[in-house]
Amino acid sequence: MKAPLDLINEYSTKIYSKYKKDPGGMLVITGTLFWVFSAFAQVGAILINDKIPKNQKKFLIPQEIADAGINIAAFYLFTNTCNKVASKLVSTGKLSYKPIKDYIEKKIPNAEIGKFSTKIDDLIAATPELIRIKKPYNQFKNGVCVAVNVVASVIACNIVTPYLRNHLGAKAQKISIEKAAHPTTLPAQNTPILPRIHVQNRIGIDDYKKQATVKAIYPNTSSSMRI
Amino acid sequence: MTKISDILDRRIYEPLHKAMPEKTVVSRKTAKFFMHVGKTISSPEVRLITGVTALASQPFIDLHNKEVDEKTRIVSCAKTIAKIVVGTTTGVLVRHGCIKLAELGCQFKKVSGEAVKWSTLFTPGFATNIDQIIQHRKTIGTILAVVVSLFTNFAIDMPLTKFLTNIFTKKFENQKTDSKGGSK
Repeated sequence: MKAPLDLINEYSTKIYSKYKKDPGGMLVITGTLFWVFSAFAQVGAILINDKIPKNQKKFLIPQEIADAGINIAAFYLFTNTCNKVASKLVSTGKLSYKPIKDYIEKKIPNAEIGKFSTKIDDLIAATPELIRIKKPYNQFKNGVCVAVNVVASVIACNIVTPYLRNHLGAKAQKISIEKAAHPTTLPAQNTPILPRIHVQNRIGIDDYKKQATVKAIYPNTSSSMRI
Repeated sequence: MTKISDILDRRIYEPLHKAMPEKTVVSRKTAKFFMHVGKTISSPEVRLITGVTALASQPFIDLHNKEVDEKTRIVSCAKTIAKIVVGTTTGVLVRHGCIKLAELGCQFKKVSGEAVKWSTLFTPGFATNIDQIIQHRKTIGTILAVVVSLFTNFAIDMPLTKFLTNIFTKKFENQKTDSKGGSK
């Protein structure tokens, strides 16, 4: 069995291989995890706060849950999509730095720069003459991805989330206030459940009088009625 | 079987890629700016930027939320400010501290075959590029920060947010009554 230090080192090397060229992707994943853990704490902060009246908690708790859900979804989906698109734009050459683009076109004249299928990373790896531009290309690509990541995070967390969470929180508050104002009446637990009375073949008072008279005059008449 | 990444490529990324105009950065300053951003900005900086912009936008969105009554609006705004202040401060400090810790455990002197020590605990086995090692320290530090935040969120963020929410709510309510009293 491997020693714990060796195991940590092994994982660290795996992380290095995965994110050395994609710091933007790392920021998206860790950022999402941060929001998830933070959301639990924020809901807890409202729950344990005795000074917030119940009625406001009815808005604040769903608001916070909506905030967490929307924030995490918006952050991950929006930021991740922006990050991927930015990465694709640079790796296909649609967004490029002129000296890098010129150098690639000079060395590989038939490189279809700007097409979705083009992969500059693969071209650099496969062409030894392009090794000179590897460092500036990676720096430019990382920079674009991180810059896009920052802008996308700000839009997702600070503009999209607050509007949507307030709307959802207010809806939840309305529903729970309405429920409190019109509680559904349920039978009390100690109330005995009465047997169902079968109303079919029930006789009226006049029929009862008639039958009683008949029974009194003709006692042998076959009738189920008892007086 | 078609991979999810292929479907995303075809359905989302390719149409978005096509819709974008082709752009070649000519200015050296712009290119340098991007390269500088990639080198220097990591999770603490991103958290700081999102925190500052959140403070500039979210309280106003909460205060102008006409779907709830005035009292709820005040508490909501106070809670948002408290949450942003506490979350940003601890978030930046935890991330920054963990990256510093990762730097101590990711010294660039590992020789292949050498036993793992504390100083090379996070140093990747085949790392050669110093820029990528620096980036790796930030990545490891940020991952460490995710673990640490599990503890700090409950031990620091939760009680501090509660405390500040009550202070801000009181302050805003007093301001409101003062301004109403003044206008009478």
